[in-house]
Amino acid sequence: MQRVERRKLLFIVNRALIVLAVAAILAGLYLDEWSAVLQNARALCLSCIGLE
Amino acid sequence: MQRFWHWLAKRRAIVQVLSALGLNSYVTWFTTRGLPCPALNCYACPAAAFACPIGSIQHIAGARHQVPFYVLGMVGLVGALVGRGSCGWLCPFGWFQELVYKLPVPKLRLPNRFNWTRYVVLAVLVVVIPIITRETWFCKLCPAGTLEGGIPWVVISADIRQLVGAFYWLKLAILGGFVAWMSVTRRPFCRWVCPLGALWSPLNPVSAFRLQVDQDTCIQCNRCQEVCPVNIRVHENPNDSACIRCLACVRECPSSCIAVSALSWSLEADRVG
Repeated sequence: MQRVERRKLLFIVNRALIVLAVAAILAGLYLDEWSAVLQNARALCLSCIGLE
Repeated sequence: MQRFWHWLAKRRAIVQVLSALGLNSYVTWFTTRGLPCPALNCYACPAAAFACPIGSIQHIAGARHQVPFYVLGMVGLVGALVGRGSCGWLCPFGWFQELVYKLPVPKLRLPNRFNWTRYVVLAVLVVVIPIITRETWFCKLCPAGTLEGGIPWVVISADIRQLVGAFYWLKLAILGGFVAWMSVTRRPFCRWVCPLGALWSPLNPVSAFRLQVDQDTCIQCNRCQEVCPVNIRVHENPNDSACIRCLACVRECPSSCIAVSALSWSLEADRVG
């Protein structure tokens, strides 16, 4: 019985996380973080190369 | 269905090759670099088609002082669905570590006692220091960046080759140190350093994709731990936060007591297949 309750709790946490993640993605898109990520990733990351 | 997972587990290397090629397929980079990829794949790689989630988090949190909702949402969604599954199947740097481990040198089996260090790396180098200094400090030290971005750019560009200085050689030395460590220990970067793995690790126990062990048929032979690249006792905790879901244990278990399952409301409907 305890195992079943624990499994139901895990299931609820998992679905809540999925909803939270989708909400975060939408919030980020609303705040135009997509273009911030795109601009940053299109510029050559000199730090990553070791030139800064 | 379990047959399918066995079949797939035997072909994991093919998935890793396809993932490395897909994440670095270049063609669509001009638009798809706005998407964080589900792996530690440096966007300084000349052929990278997607953004590195850790680099993007540092940039948005550190340089722009904003909460990186979009990137954290993408990372969280992948983690809620498959936990650290991307580490085992999609990450090119994880695959690189597995290739280096095949070198014929003496091997060292290290316990997981200090594997909390990846959380320290996440907190300090990805969040705190970038916010204070407005610089992407994890990227500056990241060996994956040296391998996928630093070395290729210096090889292909004469202009960039002229800019090489002491910091570049320091990065090469860090990569060299990790390569030496990878050759003797399985996946050391994933276990002790990777901040992306640290973001996914707490989601392993609650992810939809999971492993389960039939304790009635388990013969406690410990074969699962022997083949596990992150050295976890699968028969005791199949959804350990360190597990990278490579399914080596599923493939190798002599009593076939480890199965892939999907998190569901009832226990009866739990096992997939």
